[in-house]
Formats: sequence, C-alpha cells, structure tokens
Amino acid sequence: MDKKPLLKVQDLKTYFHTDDGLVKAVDGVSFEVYPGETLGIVGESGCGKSVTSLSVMRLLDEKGEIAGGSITFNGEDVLAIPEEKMMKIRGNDMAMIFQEPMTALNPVFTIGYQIIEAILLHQKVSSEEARAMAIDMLRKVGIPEPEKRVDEYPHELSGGMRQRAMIAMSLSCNPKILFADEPTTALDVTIQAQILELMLSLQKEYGMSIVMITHDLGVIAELAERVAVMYAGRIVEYADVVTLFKKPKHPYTWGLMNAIPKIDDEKEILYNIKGVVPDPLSFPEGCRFNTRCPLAKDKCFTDVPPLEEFEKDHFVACFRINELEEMIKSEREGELSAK
Amino acid sequence: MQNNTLLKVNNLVKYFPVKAGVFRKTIAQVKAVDDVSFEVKKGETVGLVGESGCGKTTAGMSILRLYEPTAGQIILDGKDTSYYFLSRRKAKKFLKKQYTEKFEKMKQKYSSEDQVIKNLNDEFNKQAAKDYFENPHKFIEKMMDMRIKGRSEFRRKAQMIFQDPYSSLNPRHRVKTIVGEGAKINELVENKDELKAMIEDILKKVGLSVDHMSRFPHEFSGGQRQRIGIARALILKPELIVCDEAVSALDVSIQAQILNLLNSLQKEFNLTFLFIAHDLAVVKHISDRVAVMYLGKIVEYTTKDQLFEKPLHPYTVALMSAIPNPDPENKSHRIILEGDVPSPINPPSGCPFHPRCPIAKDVCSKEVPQFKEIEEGHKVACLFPGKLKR
Ligand SMILES: Nc1ncnc2c1ncn2[C@@H]1O[C@H](COP(=O)(O)OP(=O)(O)OP(=O)(O)O)[C@@H](O)[C@H]1O
Ligand SMILES: Nc1ncnc2c1ncn2[C@@H]1O[C@H](COP(=O)(O)OP(=O)(O)OP(=O)(O)O)[C@@H](O)[C@H]1O
Ligand code: SF4
Ligand SMILES: [Mg+2]
Ligand SMILES: [Mg+2]
Repeated sequence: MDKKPLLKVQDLKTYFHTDDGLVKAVDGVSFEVYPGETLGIVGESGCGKSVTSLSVMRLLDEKGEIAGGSITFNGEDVLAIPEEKMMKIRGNDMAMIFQEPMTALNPVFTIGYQIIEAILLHQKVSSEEARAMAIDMLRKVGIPEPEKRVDEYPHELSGGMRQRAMIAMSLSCNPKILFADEPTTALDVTIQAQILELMLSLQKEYGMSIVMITHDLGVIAELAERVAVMYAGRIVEYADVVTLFKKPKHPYTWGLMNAIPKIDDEKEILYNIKGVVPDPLSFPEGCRFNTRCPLAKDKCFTDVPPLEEFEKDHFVACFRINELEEMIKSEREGELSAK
Repeated sequence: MQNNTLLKVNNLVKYFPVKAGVFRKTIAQVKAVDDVSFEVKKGETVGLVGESGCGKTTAGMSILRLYEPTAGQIILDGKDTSYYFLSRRKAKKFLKKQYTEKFEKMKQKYSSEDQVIKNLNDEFNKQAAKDYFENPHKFIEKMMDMRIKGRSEFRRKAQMIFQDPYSSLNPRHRVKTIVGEGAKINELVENKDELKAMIEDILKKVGLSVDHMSRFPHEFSGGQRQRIGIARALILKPELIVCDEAVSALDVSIQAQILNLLNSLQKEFNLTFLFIAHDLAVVKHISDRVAVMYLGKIVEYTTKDQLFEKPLHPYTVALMSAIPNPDPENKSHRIILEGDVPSPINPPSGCPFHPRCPIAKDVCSKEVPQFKEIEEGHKVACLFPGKLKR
C-alpha cells in the first residue's frame, strides 16, 4: 500500500505490575491502519486484544504501563501528547465501542443527555443544535422514534438498542478511527447482523477506519480487509483476510481455523489445539506457542520468532513455516485414525 | 410411543408471574415457554436455538423440573413423569385431569373404549388408555405409588450441564466430592473404594487427570471446569443430558475439545442430548435435529440437514442468513430484520413473529399459525412457510 497509515503501532509493549508479578500482556506488537480500512484483531481470551486498543487510546489503568514501542496517529506521537489534549483526541478523532454497553453508558443520565454532552465537549455548537444532531445520529443507527428515545435512560432500552445508542455516541463526533472491542458478542445473531450492517454503512458514509477486535472468525471474515492474529501478547500472523483464511502459515492460525465448526463444512471431529493458553505470569521462553505446537523444535524453545514477511504483505512469526504442510498432513491422518 | 423415543414433551407451558406493589400482586405473566411440544429419540442430539430470552433455558429447566411447569406433560423412557415432583394433592389432580377426565370424556363421545384407543394419536396415550380401561382405579393408584421412586429415578436419568462452569460448581468442594456426590446419594456404590474407583474412571473418561481429585474448582481452567461438570453429570449413567450453552463461554480451541468429548461420550454411552446454544455453527456441528424457538414457542423442528438447507420459517431463514460465515470469499447475504425481539409479557397477536417478518400479511396478525408437519419430519408454525427466500 502506498497510502500513508493513519495509525502506526510499532513494537508496542504493555506490561501490568500485578500483585502476583509482571504480566507482559502485549509484548512487541506492530501494525498499521490505513484511512477507511478495517483491520481485524483476533485471538483467544487473554491474548491482549483489548489491552492493545486501550494502549493506543491511552486508557490503561494505573497498574498498566507502556514499557516500550511507539504509537503514531495522524502524524503525531501519541505517547508524547499531554493528557489534556489526549482527552480531546479520544472524543474527536478516536472512538471506542465496548463489549458491554452498560460500562460506557451512565445509568443515571438519559442517552440523549450523554450524546449531547459528548457533542458539546468536542464541537462548537449550541445545545439545541447538539440535541438535533443527537436525534439525527440515533435515527442513523436505526433507533425507532429517536425524538422519544432520546429522553430515555439506558435501562429502558433493549440490549441491541443500548449497543446502538453507544455506537451513536461514539460516532457523534465523526471519528477518524473507531476501535470496536467485541461490539456484538453480547448480542443475538439477527441483532448482530443489524449492527454490523450499520457499521459498514457508516464507514462508507464517513470514511473512517475501524479496528475490529473479536474472537469470532465469522465476523472478521465478513468485515475485515486485513487481519492480525494474536497469541499470548504477540502477533503471530498478519495478512489480508483472504490469504489468512485460505493460506494460513502459522500453526496456531491453522489450528484456529480448523477448530471452529463451519456452517458449510461437515466434519465429525474438530481439530484439537492441544493444551491450554500459557499463564501470562510465566510465558514460556522462545516462541510462546511452543507448549502447544506440534512443530516446536530446538530454536522454538530458545529464540523469539520475529514477525517476518513471508510473501508480499503476509507476515508470519514462526521458525518452521516450511514444515507446516507436513504437520497438516500428519494431523489429518491422526484425525482419520481417531475415527 | 415408538420404542426409540426417549423424551416426549407435550404442550409444555411455563409462565413466571410479574409482581408489583406493596401486596406483591401478580400484574402480568412472562410467557417464557408457551405450548411447546417435541420429542427426542434415544441416542440423538437435538439442538435448541433461538434468540436471547426466547425461553430455551426455561424449557430445559422445566423439562428437568428445576422449574415447576405451569402445564404440560413430560414423558421420559415411556413413563409420564409430569406428576413426580408435584405434591400429593397436585399429583392426584394432575392424573385425574390428564387421564380419568380425558378418557371418560372421550368414552362418552366415542361410546366404546376401543374407539377411544383408536382415536388417540400417540402410542404412549394409546397404551395408557388401554391400561386405564382395564382397571381405572388401579391405574391411578399404581401411578401414585410410583411417584417418589420415580423422582429419584428421574433425577438420575436426566442431567444438566450448565453454561457457566464456575458458578455451577461449589467452590468449597473438592473435585472428588463434586463428582462423587450424585453417585453416593443415588447409592450407585457400596463403599468408599468403589466410589473412588468410579470417580477415577469418570475423570479419565472426560480427560482429567486422577491427580486432580483433591483440587478445588478455582484451580482449573474454564475448559477443565466444564469437564468437571460433565463428569458430575456422567457418573450417574444418565440417559438424557440437557446442555445449556455448555460451550458458549469457552475459547475456540477449548470449545473444540469439549465438543469432541461430548461426541465421543455420546457414542460410548448412547447418550441423548438436548443441546441449547445460540451459536448455529456449533449446533449444526453437533445436532441430528434442531428446534428453533421464538418468543416461547417452537417455530420450526426438523433434521439438521433440512433446517440448514431448506428452512421454511421466515425467522429461521433470517437467522441462517445472519450467521457470519468464516469464509471471506463467500460472505453471507444477510436478511436484516427490523426491530427488536418483542416482550414475552405481552407477545404480539397472531403469529408472534409478524412484527419483524419480512413477508407478513394482514392475516398474520390475526391468526395463530399451527405448529404442524408440512413435509415428512419437518414441522413449521407459519402461515406462509417457505415463502421467504434468501
Ligand atoms: N488492568 C489489568 N491489570 C492486570 N492485568 C491485566 C489488566 N488488564 C488486562 N490484564 C491482563 O492482560 C492480558 C491481556 O488481556 P486483554 O484484556 O487484552 O485480553 P483480550 O485479548 O482482550 O481477551 P478477551 O477476549 O477475554 O477480552 C490478560 O492476561 C489479562 O489478565
Ligand atoms: N426466574 C425467572 N423469573 C422471571 N422471569 C424469568 C425467569 N427466568 C427467565 N425469565 C424470563 O423468561 C424469558 C425466557 O428466559 P430464558 O432464560 O429461558 O431465555 P433463553 O432463551 O435461555 O435466553 P438466553 O439465550 O439469553 O439464555 C425471558 O423473558 C426471561 O426474562
Ligand atoms: S516458532 Fe516453533 S513453536 Fe512457534 S509456532 Fe513456529 S514451529 Fe511452533
Ligand atoms: Mg477483551
Ligand atoms: Mg439461556
């Protein structure tokens, strides 16, 4: 791509100083987001997806520390921006949608009040204008009778409507980038479909970039143009969505793709990624996937595999890419004999 | 009843009262399950899907009598278990209404006992009528006698695995207590050694190590905790297991492990699953047949293949189209439904789906569609089945 990235994250390290020890939640993560595109971040629970986006927005709690790396947004060094200015950027240029809308909506204020406040904080308009803008936004996100709903409290809305109200709030300032952290996980499929459709149409209308964080590979396949797969605080594979789904090169990505039941693919036994995710307090030396990887050998236990360009725009962090085909063959045979 | 039917649910109803005011007066009813009928064959897996709040959990809990149903009949293994958990008085009342009054009324109508039997449409009730007419008094007496024994038998035969593997396990009990408790209560073992051997055996079956026996639930990962839940259910050698979102809270890789485990256990023990889940890909993977619920009612019930290839109810069609397909080259064509799921306190008139249905006609708001067989083995509750195309 020859366009300039809107967001560039380089070798980001975010550590938490917990009572039990140091958690290297994000440990050397790099990615870019271009204007108007959707980047997907996938990975299992605890791999550092949320921490990555919270780091970029500088919303970490006091235990969390950005221990290294750089974040460049819109040409500015995010880590050097004073907090006061950062607050402005968060409402204006960067917005976030959370998994559970109740954490972002204040239960004691009407949704209208909250959206209007957000608009007034960031834009120079009168309160009447702000109210009209809020109602307009609620209509855009598909809330019926927005003139009435604007004066309702969060608990008076259904889950799907709350999620839409929160999207309205995040989008009311017309952000350049939207971090959507599991925006539909708590919702039903038919409501999820409404919300995804909405995000796509708003993206078209406003040209914003989206970072879609989820563990749902289906949602990623539908929305993302490029995808980063995270495992234990690191990106293990990074490619355009078709390449990633059709020709995964990292053993973890391959395992993930084959562990999910697919609607149009009948198989009796799902691929089993052996073992469990390692404890974040004591990640293994070398490749962090080595405790579960059928290919792990020698160097995998001592050195960290770098995220390297395997083919154009397809990045993989694995020492044994060339052995993957063999692994797939033997795993398939294993499956057959298990039957 | 065909010999291979394990569970038969007839007209199951469960309402929750909504109370308000100082006197806690009942001001409305949540019609969580509203006239649900279906049957499950021995050894098969029936998936139960539908949106949040449509009544899946309530149906499962009512079948297992963790809730007392408002009405309906639940037949397990050829026995009417509906009155087992009722008080003596209520049980008598149930039997009188379900059998005595029904059969006597039919006898008047059809004038002969043989005709009554002939006009009953299911095997279970045909047999019941035969037995009843042989000796009405004894028939009821015998059923009442079975009540208490039936209870413990039912508790052993029908088990549940819950969504949240943590809150459903007592945090203060060790794994061996959690898993072994049921076997002790149901007197499946004679002594401590036997119990220990049994626990060890079952832990191995679900893929846990015997060294785990003395640990507490919090020392396990989510997937391991779910295995403990499965071991606890399995030790009683149950016939029916209701899995309520049993893998929903688990990570993808762990979910695959548990699904594979359930599959192999089913084969080994000829288990029957009622598998409640909202992830349709998971349901498709594990089920033989699938029932789709909407607002307290089953709207479609058929084999998995029929349902996924040729859904007939517009809600099912929309639901299928909304599943995000993990294939970037083959994106789904979503049918976007308008509006939210309506409230079960005040369900819409006519077809409960009509306010969101893309093909609803005037008649849909007036007439309640019957849940009936449209094709062999394919039941649908819709006035215009198969009319909504993808
Ligand atoms: N405030 C915190 N204090 C200490 N540790 C934290 C904190 N927030 C996150 N962590 C740890 O950082 C790691 C990454 O967490 P993160 O929330 O980013 O995971 P995630 O990928 O978003 O997972 P999920 O899919 O469950 O949301 C985890 O091990 C988590 O326990
Ligand atoms: N104990 C209860 N008291 C009152 N209402 C209840 C109770 N349990 C469930 N309900 C109501 O009954 C309806 C059906 O709930 P149920 O939990 O069976 O839904 P579900 O299909 O399992 O949903 P989910 O997918 O969210 O688990 C809902 O409207 C719910 O609010
Ligand atoms: S680097 Fe080694 S351990 Fe890590 S994924 Fe590749 S083969 Fe497996
Ligand atoms: Mg998260
Ligand atoms: Mg439920």
